[in-house]
Amino acid sequence: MNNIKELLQKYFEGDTSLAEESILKNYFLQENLPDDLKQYQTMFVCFEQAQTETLSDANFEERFKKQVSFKKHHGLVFHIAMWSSAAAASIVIALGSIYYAERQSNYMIVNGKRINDPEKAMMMAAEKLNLVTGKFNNSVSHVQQIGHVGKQLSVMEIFSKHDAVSDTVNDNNANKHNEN
Amino acid sequence: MDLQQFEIKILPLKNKIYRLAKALLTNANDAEDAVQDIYLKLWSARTELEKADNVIALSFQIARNHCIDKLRASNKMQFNDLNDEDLSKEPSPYEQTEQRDLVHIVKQLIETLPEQQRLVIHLRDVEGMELKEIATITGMTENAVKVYLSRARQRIRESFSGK
Repeated sequence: MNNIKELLQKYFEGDTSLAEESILKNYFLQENLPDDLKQYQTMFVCFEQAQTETLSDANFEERFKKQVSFKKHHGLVFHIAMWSSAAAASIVIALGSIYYAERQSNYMIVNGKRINDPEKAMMMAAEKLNLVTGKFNNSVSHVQQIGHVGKQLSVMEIFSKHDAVSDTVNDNNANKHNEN
Repeated sequence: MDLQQFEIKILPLKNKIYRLAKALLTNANDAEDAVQDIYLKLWSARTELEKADNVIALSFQIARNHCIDKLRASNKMQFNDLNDEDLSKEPSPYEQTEQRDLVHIVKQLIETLPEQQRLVIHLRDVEGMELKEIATITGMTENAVKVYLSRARQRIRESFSGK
């Protein structure tokens, strides 16, 4: 009892250890206390009751874990989306640059006009080629016609030569006849 | 510290953190709300918690800081920690007879203590923490903790022994 009173005095001075405070708590939580010490009981009962107070939200842990996982997941999705967009944008820019560079380097001038579109250029080239081929064919046919005329002429020339020789032979025969 | 470790080390402190919040905020609903916010702060501080020598002390420190910010924001802060000698919010005689619950009266008395005394007596007499841990949580010296503890206990004794 005296020991308790001494401890109680130390307790109010803030000098008790946790072990000593445990002795006091156990003492004051019993039912039959001397009258002069009863007044302190409420204090220790109050602390004892406060120790048992709990969070009323029974699903706190589950909700917290979901919340944190969602944040983490959400964060991951955001990062993936961001980096994917960046990668896609880089590819588009790179391809665009290559295409532009290609367009800039491959072109042709037709009638003083610059043409970058390869299809259009091919079409125009084919058109010109056809024109050239057409003209060439025309020229060939002309040449053939000339050749044909040439042939005819040479045949005519042979005939005319043949006629000349016959005339000469006839002349010679006539001369010989006359001499006889 | 990953979620699994957090679940093992920090989540089981939820009731202790709730009680600390309630001791400081003196309101169960405010304390419940505060625990949600405190746990998000603890999650953000999980790297520091992993490195901490005393995980409970650091968790309580984060909880305490959050509650003090809340009190400041709601202008409930009591500035007369060391020198106030009066219990301005002592329950009225009407309330005392009406409640007829001595434990409830003591709880109310504790709630009327200055904030630092309230926190120190809670951590020591309810949670049974060492003076050194309380000093870490509150940012005081061990000696200051003893002074606050003594003042708080004597204040309670005076209030009920005088009746």
